[in-house]
Amino acid sequence: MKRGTLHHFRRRRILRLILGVLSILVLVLGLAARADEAAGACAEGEACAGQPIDRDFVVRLVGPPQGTPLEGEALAAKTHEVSLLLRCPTCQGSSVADSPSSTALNMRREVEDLLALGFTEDQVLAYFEAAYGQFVLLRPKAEGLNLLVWIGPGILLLLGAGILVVYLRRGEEEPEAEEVAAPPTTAPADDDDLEPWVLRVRELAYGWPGGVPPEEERS
Amino acid sequence: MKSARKLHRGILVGGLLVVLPLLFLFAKSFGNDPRALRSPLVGRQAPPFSLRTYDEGKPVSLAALRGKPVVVNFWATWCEPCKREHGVLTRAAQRYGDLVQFLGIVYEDEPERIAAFLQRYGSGYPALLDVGGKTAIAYGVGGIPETFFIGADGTVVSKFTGPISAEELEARIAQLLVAEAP
Repeated sequence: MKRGTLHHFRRRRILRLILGVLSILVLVLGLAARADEAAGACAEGEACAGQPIDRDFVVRLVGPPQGTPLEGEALAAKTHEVSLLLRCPTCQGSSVADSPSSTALNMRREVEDLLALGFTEDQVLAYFEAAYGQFVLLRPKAEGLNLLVWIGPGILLLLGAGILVVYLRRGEEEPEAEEVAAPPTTAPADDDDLEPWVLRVRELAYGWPGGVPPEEERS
Repeated sequence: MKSARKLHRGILVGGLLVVLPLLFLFAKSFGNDPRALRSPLVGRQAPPFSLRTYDEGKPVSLAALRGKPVVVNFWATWCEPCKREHGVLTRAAQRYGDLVQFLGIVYEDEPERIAAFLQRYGSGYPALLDVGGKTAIAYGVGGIPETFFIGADGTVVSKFTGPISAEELEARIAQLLVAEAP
Protein backbone atom coordinates (compact mmCIF):
# COMPACT_ATOMS: atom_id res chain seq x y z
CA MET A 1 0.00 0.00 0.00
CA LYS A 2 2.76 2.40 1.08
CA ARG A 3 4.96 1.43 -1.83
CA GLY A 4 2.03 1.74 -4.21
CA THR A 5 1.38 5.29 -3.03
CA LEU A 6 5.04 6.17 -3.45
CA HIS A 7 5.11 4.88 -7.04
CA HIS A 8 1.86 6.64 -7.71
CA PHE A 9 3.43 9.95 -6.67
CA ARG A 10 6.56 9.31 -8.70
CA ARG A 11 4.56 8.40 -11.82
CA ARG A 12 2.44 11.52 -11.48
CA ARG A 13 5.55 13.66 -11.10
CA ILE A 14 7.12 12.14 -14.25
CA LEU A 15 3.85 12.54 -16.21
CA ARG A 16 3.59 16.17 -15.10
CA LEU A 17 7.20 16.73 -16.23
CA ILE A 18 6.48 15.19 -19.67
CA LEU A 19 3.33 17.30 -20.06
CA GLY A 20 5.29 20.43 -19.12
CA VAL A 21 8.05 19.73 -21.66
CA LEU A 22 5.47 18.98 -24.39
CA SER A 23 3.56 22.24 -23.70
CA ILE A 24 6.78 24.28 -23.93
CA LEU A 25 7.65 22.51 -27.21
CA VAL A 26 4.22 23.27 -28.72
CA LEU A 27 4.47 26.91 -27.58
CA VAL A 28 7.93 27.39 -29.13
CA LEU A 29 6.89 25.73 -32.43
CA GLY A 30 3.76 27.88 -32.58
CA LEU A 31 5.72 31.09 -32.03
CA ALA A 32 8.27 30.10 -34.71
CA ALA A 33 5.47 29.41 -37.22
CA ARG A 34 3.90 32.80 -36.51
CA ALA A 35 7.25 34.57 -36.93
CA ASP A 36 7.58 32.90 -40.35
CA GLU A 37 4.15 34.13 -41.40
CA ALA A 38 4.88 37.68 -40.22
CA ALA A 39 8.13 37.94 -42.21
CA GLY A 40 7.65 39.94 -45.40
CA ALA A 41 9.01 39.09 -48.82
CA CYS A 42 10.32 41.57 -51.37
CA ALA A 43 8.45 44.66 -50.20
CA GLU A 44 6.34 46.58 -52.65
CA GLY A 45 7.86 49.69 -54.14
CA GLU A 46 11.42 48.36 -53.98
CA ALA A 47 13.33 49.24 -57.11
CA CYS A 48 14.41 45.99 -58.77
CA ALA A 49 17.43 47.46 -60.45
CA GLY A 50 20.31 45.56 -61.93
CA GLN A 51 21.33 43.77 -65.05
CA PRO A 52 19.22 40.96 -66.52
CA ILE A 53 19.95 37.45 -65.34
CA ASP A 54 22.39 35.34 -67.38
CA ARG A 55 19.84 32.70 -68.35
CA ASP A 56 22.33 30.54 -70.29
CA PHE A 57 24.63 30.32 -67.27
CA VAL A 58 21.75 29.25 -65.01
CA VAL A 59 20.61 26.68 -67.59
CA ARG A 60 24.14 25.24 -67.71
CA LEU A 61 24.00 24.75 -63.94
CA VAL A 62 20.45 23.54 -63.29
CA GLY A 63 19.06 22.69 -66.73
CA PRO A 64 16.29 24.42 -68.71
CA PRO A 65 13.30 25.82 -66.77
CA GLN A 66 10.98 22.99 -65.76
CA GLY A 67 8.07 25.03 -64.48
CA THR A 68 5.74 27.68 -65.80
CA PRO A 69 6.90 31.31 -65.64
CA LEU A 70 5.20 33.02 -62.69
CA GLU A 71 3.91 36.55 -62.51
CA GLY A 72 1.86 38.87 -60.30
CA GLU A 73 0.72 37.63 -56.91
CA ALA A 74 1.73 34.04 -57.56
CA LEU A 75 5.30 35.24 -58.26
CA ALA A 76 5.41 37.35 -55.07
CA ALA A 77 4.05 34.49 -52.95
CA LYS A 78 6.45 31.92 -54.40
CA THR A 79 9.41 34.33 -54.07
CA HIS A 80 8.61 34.69 -50.38
CA GLU A 81 8.22 30.94 -49.97
CA VAL A 82 11.58 30.14 -51.62
CA SER A 83 13.36 33.03 -49.85
CA LEU A 84 12.35 31.50 -46.52
CA LEU A 85 14.40 28.43 -47.46
CA LEU A 86 17.59 30.39 -48.17
CA ARG A 87 20.05 31.61 -45.55
CA CYS A 88 21.16 35.23 -45.74
CA PRO A 89 24.97 34.80 -45.88
CA THR A 90 25.74 38.16 -44.26
CA CYS A 91 23.25 37.84 -41.39
CA GLN A 92 23.20 35.80 -38.21
CA GLY A 93 20.82 32.92 -38.75
CA SER A 94 18.04 34.67 -40.63
CA SER A 95 16.52 33.75 -43.94
CA VAL A 96 16.67 35.81 -47.12
CA ALA A 97 12.96 36.56 -46.65
CA ASP A 98 13.45 37.87 -43.11
CA SER A 99 16.56 40.02 -43.51
CA PRO A 100 16.43 43.69 -44.54
CA SER A 101 20.11 43.65 -45.64
CA SER A 102 21.03 44.60 -49.20
CA THR A 103 22.53 41.15 -49.82
CA ALA A 104 19.22 39.53 -48.89
CA LEU A 105 17.37 42.04 -51.06
CA ASN A 106 19.58 41.15 -54.04
CA MET A 107 19.04 37.46 -53.39
CA ARG A 108 15.25 37.94 -53.23
CA ARG A 109 15.37 39.72 -56.60
CA GLU A 110 17.43 36.85 -58.00
CA VAL A 111 14.87 34.32 -56.74
CA GLU A 112 12.09 36.41 -58.28
CA ASP A 113 13.90 36.68 -61.63
CA LEU A 114 14.52 32.95 -61.75
CA LEU A 115 10.90 32.09 -60.89
CA ALA A 116 9.68 34.60 -63.50
CA LEU A 117 11.77 32.72 -66.08
CA GLY A 118 10.01 29.46 -65.19
CA PHE A 119 12.66 27.82 -63.03
CA THR A 120 11.15 25.63 -60.30
CA GLU A 121 11.77 25.93 -56.54
CA ASP A 122 14.22 23.00 -56.66
CA GLN A 123 16.11 24.58 -59.55
CA VAL A 124 16.34 27.94 -57.76
CA LEU A 125 17.64 26.25 -54.60
CA ALA A 126 20.11 24.23 -56.71
CA TYR A 127 21.37 27.43 -58.35
CA PHE A 128 22.09 29.06 -54.98
CA GLU A 129 23.64 25.85 -53.67
CA ALA A 130 25.98 25.77 -56.69
CA ALA A 131 27.29 29.21 -55.69
CA TYR A 132 27.25 29.12 -51.88
CA GLY A 133 27.25 25.41 -51.06
CA GLN A 134 24.77 23.66 -48.77
CA PHE A 135 25.43 26.38 -46.19
CA VAL A 136 22.86 28.54 -47.99
CA LEU A 137 20.04 26.01 -47.59
CA LEU A 138 18.10 26.51 -44.36
CA ARG A 139 16.54 23.06 -44.74
CA PRO A 140 19.50 20.67 -44.98
CA LYS A 141 19.21 17.92 -47.58
CA ALA A 142 18.29 14.52 -46.19
CA GLU A 143 21.50 12.78 -47.27
CA GLY A 144 24.80 11.67 -45.74
CA LEU A 145 25.57 13.04 -42.27
CA ASN A 146 22.59 15.40 -42.62
CA LEU A 147 20.29 12.38 -42.16
CA LEU A 148 21.14 12.64 -38.45
CA VAL A 149 19.35 16.00 -38.33
CA TRP A 150 16.22 14.47 -39.84
CA ILE A 151 15.98 11.12 -38.08
CA GLY A 152 18.09 11.85 -34.97
CA PRO A 153 15.32 13.57 -32.96
CA GLY A 154 12.89 10.72 -33.75
CA ILE A 155 15.40 8.10 -32.66
CA LEU A 156 16.17 10.03 -29.46
CA LEU A 157 12.45 10.43 -28.72
CA LEU A 158 11.82 6.71 -29.17
CA LEU A 159 14.89 5.90 -27.06
CA GLY A 160 13.69 8.23 -24.29
CA ALA A 161 10.16 6.83 -24.43
CA GLY A 162 11.56 3.28 -24.28
CA ILE A 163 13.70 4.07 -21.23
CA LEU A 164 10.72 5.75 -19.56
CA VAL A 165 8.41 2.79 -20.17
CA VAL A 166 10.99 0.29 -18.88
CA TYR A 167 11.66 2.51 -15.85
CA LEU A 168 8.00 2.90 -14.95
CA ARG A 169 7.23 -0.80 -15.49
CA ARG A 170 10.14 -1.97 -13.38
CA GLY A 171 9.08 0.45 -10.67
CA GLU A 172 5.63 -1.16 -10.60
CA GLU A 173 6.76 -4.78 -10.75
CA GLU A 174 9.78 -4.84 -8.45
CA PRO A 175 9.77 -2.87 -5.24
CA GLU A 176 13.10 -1.27 -4.55
CA ALA A 177 15.01 -3.01 -1.82
CA GLU A 178 16.29 0.22 -0.35
CA GLU A 179 12.82 1.35 0.47
CA VAL A 180 12.06 -1.93 2.30
CA ALA A 181 15.38 -1.98 4.13
CA ALA A 182 15.27 1.61 5.34
CA PRO A 183 12.00 2.44 7.07
CA PRO A 184 11.02 6.05 6.90
CA THR A 185 11.95 8.15 9.87
CA THR A 186 9.31 9.04 12.39
CA ALA A 187 11.46 11.23 14.60
CA PRO A 188 9.80 14.48 15.61
CA ALA A 189 11.03 17.72 14.05
CA ASP A 190 13.67 19.71 15.97
CA ASP A 191 11.60 22.83 15.90
CA ASP A 192 8.03 22.80 17.29
CA ASP A 193 6.92 25.34 14.70
CA LEU A 194 8.03 23.02 11.94
CA GLU A 195 6.30 19.92 13.38
CA PRO A 196 2.95 20.38 11.53
CA TRP A 197 4.84 20.94 8.25
CA VAL A 198 6.98 17.86 8.78
CA LEU A 199 3.81 15.81 9.44
CA ARG A 200 2.21 17.22 6.32
CA VAL A 201 5.25 16.35 4.20
CA ARG A 202 5.27 12.83 5.66
CA GLU A 203 1.59 12.48 4.85
CA LEU A 204 2.23 13.52 1.25
CA ALA A 205 5.34 11.36 0.90
CA TYR A 206 4.30 8.18 2.74
CA GLY A 207 0.54 8.41 2.70
CA TRP A 208 0.07 8.25 6.50
CA PRO A 209 -2.94 10.28 7.53
CA GLY A 210 -1.72 13.21 9.66
CA GLY A 211 1.87 12.06 9.11
CA VAL A 212 1.53 9.37 11.82
CA PRO A 213 2.70 5.83 10.92
CA PRO A 214 0.02 3.11 11.29
CA GLU A 215 2.00 1.34 14.10
CA GLU A 216 2.14 4.51 16.22
CA GLU A 217 -1.51 5.09 15.60
CA ARG A 218 -2.38 1.61 16.88
CA SER A 219 -0.21 1.83 20.03
CA MET B 1 18.07 -3.19 -6.63
CA LYS B 2 20.17 -5.11 -9.14
CA SER B 3 17.74 -4.40 -11.96
CA ALA B 4 17.62 -0.70 -11.00
CA ARG B 5 21.41 -0.52 -11.18
CA LYS B 6 21.34 -2.31 -14.52
CA LEU B 7 18.78 0.19 -15.77
CA HIS B 8 20.83 3.15 -14.54
CA ARG B 9 23.90 1.73 -16.23
CA GLY B 10 21.86 1.34 -19.43
CA ILE B 11 20.75 4.98 -19.29
CA LEU B 12 24.34 6.08 -18.66
CA VAL B 13 25.70 4.06 -21.60
CA GLY B 14 22.84 5.26 -23.87
CA GLY B 15 23.46 8.86 -22.85
CA LEU B 16 27.18 8.55 -23.51
CA LEU B 17 26.47 7.03 -26.93
CA VAL B 18 24.44 10.12 -27.80
CA VAL B 19 26.60 12.77 -26.13
CA LEU B 20 30.09 11.55 -27.10
CA PRO B 21 29.60 11.76 -30.90
CA LEU B 22 28.11 15.24 -30.43
CA LEU B 23 31.08 16.31 -28.29
CA PHE B 24 33.40 14.91 -30.97
CA LEU B 25 31.62 16.95 -33.68
CA PHE B 26 31.75 20.12 -31.55
CA ALA B 27 35.45 19.61 -30.78
CA LYS B 28 36.18 19.03 -34.47
CA SER B 29 34.30 22.09 -35.71
CA PHE B 30 35.00 24.48 -32.83
CA GLY B 31 37.19 27.38 -33.90
CA ASN B 32 36.49 26.85 -37.59
CA ASP B 33 35.38 29.97 -39.44
CA PRO B 34 31.95 29.07 -40.87
CA ARG B 35 32.62 31.43 -43.78
CA ALA B 36 35.89 29.76 -44.66
CA LEU B 37 34.02 26.86 -46.23
CA ARG B 38 35.51 25.55 -49.42
CA SER B 39 33.73 27.26 -52.29
CA PRO B 40 31.72 24.89 -54.48
CA LEU B 41 33.03 26.92 -57.42
CA VAL B 42 36.60 25.64 -57.02
CA GLY B 43 37.40 23.30 -59.90
CA ARG B 44 34.41 24.52 -61.95
CA GLN B 45 34.08 27.06 -64.75
CA ALA B 46 33.98 30.56 -63.26
CA PRO B 47 30.56 32.20 -63.60
CA PRO B 48 30.74 34.51 -66.62
CA PHE B 49 30.18 38.24 -66.19
CA SER B 50 30.15 41.31 -68.34
CA LEU B 51 30.33 44.44 -66.18
CA ARG B 52 31.19 48.07 -66.74
CA THR B 53 33.93 50.13 -65.12
CA TYR B 54 32.62 52.55 -62.50
CA ASP B 55 34.07 55.66 -64.20
CA GLU B 56 34.02 55.35 -67.98
CA GLY B 57 31.42 52.61 -68.24
CA LYS B 58 33.82 50.54 -70.32
CA PRO B 59 32.56 46.94 -70.64
CA VAL B 60 34.82 44.18 -69.29
CA SER B 61 33.86 40.54 -69.71
CA LEU B 62 35.52 37.48 -68.24
CA ALA B 63 35.10 35.57 -71.51
CA ALA B 64 37.27 38.13 -73.35
CA LEU B 65 40.10 37.45 -70.88
CA ARG B 66 40.23 33.71 -71.61
CA GLY B 67 43.86 32.65 -72.05
CA LYS B 68 45.15 34.75 -69.15
CA PRO B 69 44.77 33.98 -65.42
CA VAL B 70 42.47 36.37 -63.61
CA VAL B 71 42.32 37.52 -59.99
CA VAL B 72 38.83 38.76 -59.12
CA ASN B 73 38.49 40.71 -55.88
CA PHE B 74 35.06 41.60 -54.46
CA TRP B 75 35.33 44.76 -52.36
CA ALA B 76 33.58 47.98 -51.28
CA THR B 77 34.58 51.38 -49.97
CA TRP B 78 32.59 50.82 -46.75
CA CYS B 79 34.47 47.61 -45.96
CA GLU B 80 37.36 48.22 -43.53
CA PRO B 81 39.32 45.00 -44.23
CA CYS B 82 39.13 45.90 -47.95
CA LYS B 83 41.14 49.06 -47.21
CA ARG B 84 43.86 46.96 -45.59
CA GLU B 85 44.20 44.60 -48.54
CA HIS B 86 43.84 47.28 -51.23
CA GLY B 87 47.54 48.18 -51.14
CA VAL B 88 48.57 44.50 -51.29
CA LEU B 89 46.42 43.96 -54.40
CA THR B 90 47.54 47.19 -56.10
CA ARG B 91 51.23 46.34 -55.60
CA ALA B 92 50.70 42.78 -56.87
CA ALA B 93 48.84 44.12 -59.93
CA GLN B 94 51.82 46.35 -60.73
CA ARG B 95 54.22 43.44 -60.33
CA TYR B 96 52.26 40.66 -62.07
CA GLY B 97 50.09 42.77 -64.38
CA ASP B 98 51.64 41.30 -67.52
CA LEU B 99 50.99 37.73 -66.46
CA VAL B 100 47.76 38.00 -64.52
CA GLN B 101 44.70 40.24 -65.01
CA PHE B 102 43.42 41.83 -61.80
CA LEU B 103 39.78 42.88 -61.59
CA GLY B 104 37.93 44.52 -58.73
CA ILE B 105 34.16 44.02 -58.52
CA VAL B 106 32.67 46.66 -56.27
CA TYR B 107 29.89 45.34 -54.10
CA GLU B 108 26.94 47.53 -53.08
CA ASP B 109 28.60 50.89 -53.65
CA GLU B 110 28.35 54.17 -55.55
CA PRO B 111 30.65 55.57 -58.30
CA GLU B 112 31.38 58.81 -56.37
CA ARG B 113 32.55 56.93 -53.30
CA ILE B 114 34.62 54.53 -55.41
CA ALA B 115 36.28 57.49 -57.16
CA ALA B 116 37.12 59.15 -53.82
CA PHE B 117 38.46 55.86 -52.41
CA LEU B 118 40.69 55.13 -55.40
CA GLN B 119 41.95 58.70 -55.47
CA ARG B 120 43.02 58.41 -51.85
CA TYR B 121 44.39 54.85 -51.83
CA GLY B 122 45.54 54.49 -55.45
CA SER B 123 44.30 52.46 -58.34
CA GLY B 124 46.02 49.71 -60.29
CA TYR B 125 43.32 47.73 -62.10
CA PRO B 126 39.71 48.11 -63.34
CA ALA B 127 36.96 48.57 -60.74
CA LEU B 128 33.67 47.15 -62.05
CA LEU B 129 30.15 47.91 -60.89
CA ASP B 130 27.92 44.94 -60.02
CA VAL B 131 24.52 46.63 -59.98
CA GLY B 132 21.95 44.35 -58.35
CA GLY B 133 24.71 42.03 -57.10
CA LYS B 134 24.03 39.27 -59.64
CA THR B 135 27.73 38.55 -60.17
CA ALA B 136 28.34 38.45 -56.42
CA ILE B 137 25.49 35.94 -56.04
CA ALA B 138 26.80 33.78 -58.91
CA TYR B 139 30.17 33.68 -57.11
CA GLY B 140 28.53 32.92 -53.75
CA VAL B 141 29.94 36.04 -52.11
CA GLY B 142 28.85 36.14 -48.47
CA GLY B 143 31.07 38.69 -46.79
CA ILE B 144 33.62 40.85 -48.53
CA PRO B 145 36.50 40.94 -49.16
CA GLU B 146 36.62 37.72 -51.15
CA THR B 147 39.18 36.94 -53.84
CA PHE B 148 38.84 34.35 -56.60
CA PHE B 149 41.76 32.97 -58.58
CA ILE B 150 40.71 31.93 -62.07
CA GLY B 151 42.98 29.93 -64.37
CA ALA B 152 43.70 30.79 -68.02
CA ASP B 153 41.11 28.16 -69.05
CA GLY B 154 38.39 29.88 -67.02
CA THR B 155 38.36 27.39 -64.14
CA VAL B 156 38.22 28.63 -60.54
CA VAL B 157 41.52 27.48 -58.99
CA SER B 158 40.95 28.82 -55.47
CA LYS B 159 39.05 31.29 -53.34
CA PHE B 160 40.27 33.37 -50.39
CA THR B 161 37.88 34.86 -47.84
CA GLY B 162 38.94 37.93 -45.85
CA PRO B 163 41.76 40.46 -46.35
CA ILE B 164 44.56 38.71 -48.17
CA SER B 165 48.20 39.14 -47.12
CA ALA B 166 51.02 39.79 -49.59
CA GLU B 167 52.51 36.32 -48.93
CA GLU B 168 49.20 34.54 -49.43
CA LEU B 169 48.50 36.48 -52.61
CA GLU B 170 51.94 35.68 -54.04
CA ALA B 171 51.53 31.99 -53.21
CA ARG B 172 48.13 31.85 -54.93
CA ILE B 173 49.36 33.73 -58.00
CA ALA B 174 52.29 31.28 -58.21
CA GLN B 175 49.75 28.43 -58.07
CA LEU B 176 47.82 30.08 -60.94
CA LEU B 177 50.93 30.46 -63.07
CA VAL B 178 52.04 26.87 -62.41
CA ALA B 179 48.59 25.62 -63.45
CA GLU B 180 48.91 27.64 -66.63
CA ALA B 181 52.35 26.23 -67.54
CA PRO B 182 52.14 23.21 -69.89
